[in-house]
This record gives sequence, structure tokens and C-alpha cells, in this order.
Amino acid sequence: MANLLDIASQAPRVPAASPAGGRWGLLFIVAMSALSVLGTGCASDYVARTASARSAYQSSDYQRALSELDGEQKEAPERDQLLLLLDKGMVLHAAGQWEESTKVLAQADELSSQLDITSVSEEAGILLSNERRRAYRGEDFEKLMISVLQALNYAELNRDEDALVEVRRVNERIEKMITEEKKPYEQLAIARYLGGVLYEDQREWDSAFIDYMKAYELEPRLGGLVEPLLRLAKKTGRDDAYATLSQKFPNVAHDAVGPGEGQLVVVVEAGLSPQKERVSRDYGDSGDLIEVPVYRDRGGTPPVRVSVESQAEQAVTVTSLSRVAQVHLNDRIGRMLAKQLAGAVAKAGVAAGVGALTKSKELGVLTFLILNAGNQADLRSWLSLPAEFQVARFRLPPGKHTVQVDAPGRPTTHLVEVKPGRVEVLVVRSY
Amino acid sequence: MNTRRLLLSALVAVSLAGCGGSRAFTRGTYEDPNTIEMLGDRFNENDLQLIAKKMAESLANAPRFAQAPPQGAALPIVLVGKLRNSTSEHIDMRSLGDKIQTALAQTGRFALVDQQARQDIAEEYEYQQSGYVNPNAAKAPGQQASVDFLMTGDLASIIQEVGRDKLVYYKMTAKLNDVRTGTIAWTDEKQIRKKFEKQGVSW
Repeated sequence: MANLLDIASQAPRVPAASPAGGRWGLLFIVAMSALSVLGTGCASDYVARTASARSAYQSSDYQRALSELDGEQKEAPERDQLLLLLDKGMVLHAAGQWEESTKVLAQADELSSQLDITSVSEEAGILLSNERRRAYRGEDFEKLMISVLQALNYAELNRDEDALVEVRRVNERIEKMITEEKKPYEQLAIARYLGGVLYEDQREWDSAFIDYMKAYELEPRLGGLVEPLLRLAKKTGRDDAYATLSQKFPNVAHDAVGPGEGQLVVVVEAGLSPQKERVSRDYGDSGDLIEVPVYRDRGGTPPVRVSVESQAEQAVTVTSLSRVAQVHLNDRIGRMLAKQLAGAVAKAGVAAGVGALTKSKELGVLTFLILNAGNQADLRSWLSLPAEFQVARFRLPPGKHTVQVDAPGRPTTHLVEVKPGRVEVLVVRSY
Repeated sequence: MNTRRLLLSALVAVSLAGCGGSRAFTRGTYEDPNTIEMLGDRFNENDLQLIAKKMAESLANAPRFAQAPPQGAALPIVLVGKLRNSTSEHIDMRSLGDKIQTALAQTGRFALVDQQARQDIAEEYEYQQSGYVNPNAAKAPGQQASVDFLMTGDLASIIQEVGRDKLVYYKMTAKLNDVRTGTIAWTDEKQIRKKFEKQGVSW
């Protein structure tokens, strides 16, 4: 890789186009320096700019977080618009403003689809600058999370049909990524489990069993959460599956839900999603030629205990976004490295051109160093997402109940109404 | 000289790439709503019209309803009920129901009851019984027509993406349930298949 500098320094010496060649070279450097400053300066880093909003969000001060994000929306460049919509949608979701959250996340979803189209001009520009200048498109799992959050929003709004639309969208999208795009992903257990809950609420027993079963295959450590799987295997006459599951979970009671009973499923969005940080691939003394991000966990996810009157349960992790994020980013690293290499070659080409035009080896090297000085890994990510989706479920008599969610240091209380034969969903954010 | 210009142009393009401004729609024209425009791969108003037209025609031409009732005889009373959305798109099923209801009314073979209006009518009874309205002219509960048939339906979709091609298939199944007997008096389906070519690259 250090050869790239050699390319710049050993540029062919072509005759100067005019006696003004030296002046042009100097002008060129000045232009490049200015553009380099402009490149990073037309807006500073989104993660840094929104630190205060994130701090308010993590303190459950949602109104301040929203107000700061609204302020940011007026100033932020277009390339950060998706992140802004994602963060705003998540804050509204955490604040229990479900309807508003569905609208903002729908905008994010639409923008994400538009950004999926590769812009040739943008790609060309990035070759000579860095990834941070690209419009943020979202990691694959972040695109899936839009629909997961939407499903939870709609479930809270009792719009089960819309919630199921979002669950189907998650499953279809990820299926496409796996089968058509050949990505090494797997389906999201939380989407499948939520699908099971919603189908069960709609009394579509077969569909509910299929989704619960898929969630169990994806996350075999569901523990007591397999209760509906056992119950529906029996109810839908899946004798073989029932025999196998009963053997595996002999202690999980799964009596039929009585006519005077309802169910409550508590979805806890726990902890903070992992954050990207820079890791340089330093090749000799030529500077950080190539930079790619890695995900770093932001602290552990505390155990959450959920209690409803006399019943208490430890919430079970159904999907860990820390793990999913790692898999998705690892899949992208190869393509990222190839692009950075192409960018380094393009910069070396420009530097060689400058060296040739100015008949100055030093200016060629300097041009390369200036161009490459802006090489920075893109550390933007949807930081308001939780680290884990945890679930606890209860059978309760119909009526109003008080739910206590005990996350270390920050217990919360929620009021729910359970209806006979129905499955109520309660979504809680814990940090 | 050309090389210099090229290099400078490239760098200017770099600087502008990340700071583009937003676009706004400033001019527009009226379009015929019956014109088929497939601007996206989503369920659109034309699909809505195709389904409603097919269902209304099929029902009006079904053997049981093809003959207009004799003079003075009551038309069969139909309520367009729950149409389920089993696709992976947010589709306004109420709008689809309204479209079918309108198409059925226009055949002249059916009398229709509007489910959405029932609550409003109940409130109107309360108002008319409140003393504000002439008691001799006031309407009261107990005189509404009894629905003969309830229409239900389900819209499902299958989406396949192969390379740059995207195939979208919709199937709307509608049923007319005889409220008295619980039997299905009529059923039909409308299938729609659309093919799209995905845009992967733009300037």
C-alpha cells in the first residue's frame, strides 16, 4: 500500500503546459486545501452534534431530546437526514408517542428506499474524499429495525393488521438479503416472536405457531417464553412437534387459555446499541490510508425484572442487536475495504497528475497527503436503538393491572388493560 | 489545460456532493384518475379500481343476483364488512371497501348499508329524541333494515425479486355471506400481477 505514495512521487514528468504552470499548481493546492476543509466542514460529525440530544434521551427527558433533534433537523446536511428521522422516530417511540413515531419512521423508511439507489456522482465524489460525505443509508439491521419498531408502535395502537404488515416486511426483507443478496444473516427472533403474539391475538393459531416456532429455532434459549409454542402445538394438532417440545420443556406449564383469561406480553427495549469506532489499517509511515469502523458495546445490558401484582419474571433476551450489528457490519467490511483501496488509488492518480503538471515531486506527494488527510471511517449509526429486545409474558384476569419494570436504578410503573382472550402488548424502554 | 480543468471540476464535484439542497414540487397538472400510471411497485389506485370493478360486476352477474327483482320487491341488502389486509404493504382497506360499495350501488341490484355510518346514525337517534326535533317527525331506533348479506374479503400478496426484476402478485378474495343461513352466497377472486424493473443506479 505504501506504493501509492511512490505512484504520486514517481509521476511522469510531462512538459509544463504553460509558463504559468507553477502558479496553477499552487492555486490547485490552495483549492484542494480549501475544499478539504469544506468537505469536512460543511457540517461537523452527526454523532458529535447530537450528543446532547442523546444524553437527554438516555435520561428519559424525551421532550428535550426531541426539541434538540428538531433544532438539528434545521441545520443538518441532507446526508444526515435519515439518521435524524431514525433518532426522532425512536425517541417518539420511547416517549410513548406511538402515532407520531409511526409517521416519522415511515418517512425514514421511504428515504431509506430512495437512498438504496447508487448515485454515480456521489460515489465518484467519495472516491476522492471519505465515507462521511456519503448520505447515510443505514446498516441492513437498522433498516429492519424500522419495521420492528413500527410493528411495536402499531401493536401499542391496537392496530394489529398494520403491525402484522410490518412483521411480514421484516421477514420478507431479510429473506431477500439472505437468498438474493447472499448475505450471511438470519431472521430476527424478535420479529418472529412478535408475529406469533399478533397472530395469536387474531386467533390465527397456525400462523402463530409457525412464528413462535421460528423464533424458538433462532433463539433456543427462550425458556418460559416457549409456553405458547407448546400450547399451540397441542391446539393445532401438531403431535410430533408437541411430543418433542414437551420432552424438552417438561416444566413449562401450558394449559389452554381459559375464557376468563387474557395475556400480557411485555417487550423491554434494554440498554444501548453498540457504537462504531475507528480502527486504522496503518501501512508503514504513510499515514492512515485505510480506515474501517468496528462496533463497540456501550456497557452491559442490565437484567430487567417485570412484575404484575403477585407474578414476577425475569425478562428473556429474544434478540441482541449487539450480535446482529456485528454480523451485518462484518459482512460489509470486505466491500468497504475494496472501496477505500479504490479511493486511495484515485487520490494517488490525482496526486500524480499534480506532480506532473507542476514538475514537482514534492507537490505531488503533498497533494496525496492532503487528499488522504480527510480519510476517515464513517462512524455514524442509529445510536438510540436498544442493545437488546427482552420479553416477559403473563396470564392475567381481564381488567386493569399495574406492571412494574425493574431495571437497575430506574424502575418504572405502567398501567395496562387486559381483555379476555386477547394478547395485550406493552413496550417499555430501559437504559 | 484540459487536465487542470478536469481535476478542478472533479474536486468541485466532491465538495458539492455532500451539500445538495432539497427539491420541491412547484408545478402540477390534473390527471385522469382512470389513467394507469405505474410510478412505483406499491399497491396503487388502479389496483383498487380493478378489484372493485371485478367484484361488483361478478356479484351483479352471479346467477342469484343477475335478474333485477320484480317491481316493488326489495333489493337484497348488503353490508361490506371487514376486508383483511394480509399483504406486506400498508393498504387502506377501508378505501377498498368504499370503492366496492360504490361499484355495487352503481349496479342498481343491491341496497347497501354503511357500517361506518352506524355509529353516526345512533348518535342522530339520540339527538332526534332529545326534544330539539319535532316529536312527530323524529326517527327512533328499531326501524333500520336488516342486512341480508355480509361481504368479507382478504387481500394477499406474493412478492418475488429475481435480479433486477420484481414480480408482485395480489389476490383479492371476496365472499358474500348469507346472514340468515351463514352460507356463502357468492365468492370470487381478482388476481393482479405486475412486473417491475428495479433502478439500481442514478446520477
